[in-house]
Amino acid sequence: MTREAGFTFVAVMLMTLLVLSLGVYLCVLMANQSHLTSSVDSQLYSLVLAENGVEYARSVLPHLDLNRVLAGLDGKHSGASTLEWRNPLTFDLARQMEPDAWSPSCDDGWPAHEETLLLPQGYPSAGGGRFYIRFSNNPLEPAAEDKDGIVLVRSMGITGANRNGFFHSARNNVSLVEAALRQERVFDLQAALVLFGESATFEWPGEGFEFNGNLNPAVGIVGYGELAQNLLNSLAAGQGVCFQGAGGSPSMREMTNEYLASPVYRRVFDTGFWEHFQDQLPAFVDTRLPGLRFYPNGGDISGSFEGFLVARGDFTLTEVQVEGVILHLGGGRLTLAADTSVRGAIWMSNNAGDGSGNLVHGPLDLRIVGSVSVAYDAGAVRRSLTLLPPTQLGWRILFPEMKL
Amino acid sequence: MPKNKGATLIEALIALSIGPLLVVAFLGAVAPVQSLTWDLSALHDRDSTLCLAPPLLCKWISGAGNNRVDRSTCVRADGNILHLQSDMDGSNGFPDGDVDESYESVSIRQNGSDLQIRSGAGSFQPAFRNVHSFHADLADSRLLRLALAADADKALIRVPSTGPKPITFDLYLWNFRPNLFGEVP
Repeated sequence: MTREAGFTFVAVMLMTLLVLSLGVYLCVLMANQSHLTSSVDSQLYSLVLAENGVEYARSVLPHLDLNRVLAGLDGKHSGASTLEWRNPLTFDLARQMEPDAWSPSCDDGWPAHEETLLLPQGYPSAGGGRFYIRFSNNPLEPAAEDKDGIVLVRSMGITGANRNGFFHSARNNVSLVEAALRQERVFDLQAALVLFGESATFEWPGEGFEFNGNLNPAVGIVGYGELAQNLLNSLAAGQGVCFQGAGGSPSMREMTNEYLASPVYRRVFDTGFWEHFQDQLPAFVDTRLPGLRFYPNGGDISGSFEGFLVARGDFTLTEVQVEGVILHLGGGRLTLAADTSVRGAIWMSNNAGDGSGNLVHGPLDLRIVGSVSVAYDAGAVRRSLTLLPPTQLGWRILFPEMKL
Repeated sequence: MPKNKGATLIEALIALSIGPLLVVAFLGAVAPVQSLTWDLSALHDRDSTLCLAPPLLCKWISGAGNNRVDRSTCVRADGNILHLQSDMDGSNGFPDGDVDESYESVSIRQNGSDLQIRSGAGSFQPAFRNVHSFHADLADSRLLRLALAADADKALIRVPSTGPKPITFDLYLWNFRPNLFGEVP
């Protein structure tokens, strides 16, 4: 071999090396870009999962016994001493954990149904991601004792780390979202017929009707005025026995102070509460059964209904079987006619704001005709309340550097 | 002197005359590839912006665009600047009355061909290049619609230019969702 041939060989080798180096460089560049993009995607996916967790919490919240959830299945709250006690997992743990092998060591705040945790290992989603949710009481109340129905839910979305390949990573992508939600129990009525106002007109021709509160009163009175006296004056002799339940005959209880003292019930004295409720109601009605129905201009209905029935104006129920809650918001007469039965409770009010923040009550108007039965059923009332969506009081993303 | 010395001189002369031709031929073959690479690089930069901007803006805006208390100041447009502020870092997770943390206040603006971000009390920093236009639609209080168009920041040589490439995406602002009951506790 000549010396020139050796030079050519070296030159060819150098050229080959150069081309290979360029190829490898391009491959690394592309892989790096791909890794960066998938990492951003994974982070965003963990955020989406965390958002989904809050939506999951919204859907289960109306069905939960909050104090039982806060204390956990063991009935004992483990305390609020650690820094991230409201989180389903600490950030450090979430970044390192293997989702398949992890389970919570404390059941406080984990949603449960019939003595079983609903999501002990998170909610698995496509792509290997999961979300975990945990409820905790709002900071204005003791950690394990809820009275106002307001809870915080923290949802942690976790997408798995890439533990294989060239860009090995030992850390999961983690996002944490918190929402302040209120379980709506303001219409958790405690009597077969609850009247809110100052005066009313009642008509009950005949004795074929019955208001039965069972262990609760048949009639609850909320508000300062002459409601109770109007009711007593409207009854003919012998009609008092048509109001059965706790207390005397007719079974009736003044509930104004109970409502004023309760963080849940006292909102009915706020004019803004009623304005907001009636403004938003049309957007929340649905046609399913059980469902939430609204008759803004009253009307006549018959048949059967299960759920939450809201009406204004002249509203007549004839041969109707209702299981749930009837809300009559005034503006006319509520008539329960022949063979109508209600298992649950009825709320009647007729109010509006006076423009300066005060609630002005109009007269209530109730007419009962023929064979009508209204039987208080706490279970039916509670079931209809689960149709009301929780109110979202706040929503935020939490970062590890925040005051958790 | 051996006879083959003259041959080497002739070879060298031939090599010198052919060499430039080969170099020119090589460059002639490589130049189109180089200009095509130039174009692809410019288009890749443009598409990177269009690909990365939505998820990153989603993350930044979702953090700062969900005020817990005063909605009127949360999302607002001031000229060509989109301001997002959320008071979400107080004791026990409730508002503390200021928005001095970097994640509590984010502003976004287009400046030249840059999309710039300012967080907290800092100054605007470029986040994305090649931005031709940026517009935030605040008409729907629950939905923030962002329209972004990106263009190659260098003149294309071989690939015919198709103008700015637009992308529009919506961000749902969770704290602006309607509630059946009022939010006053």
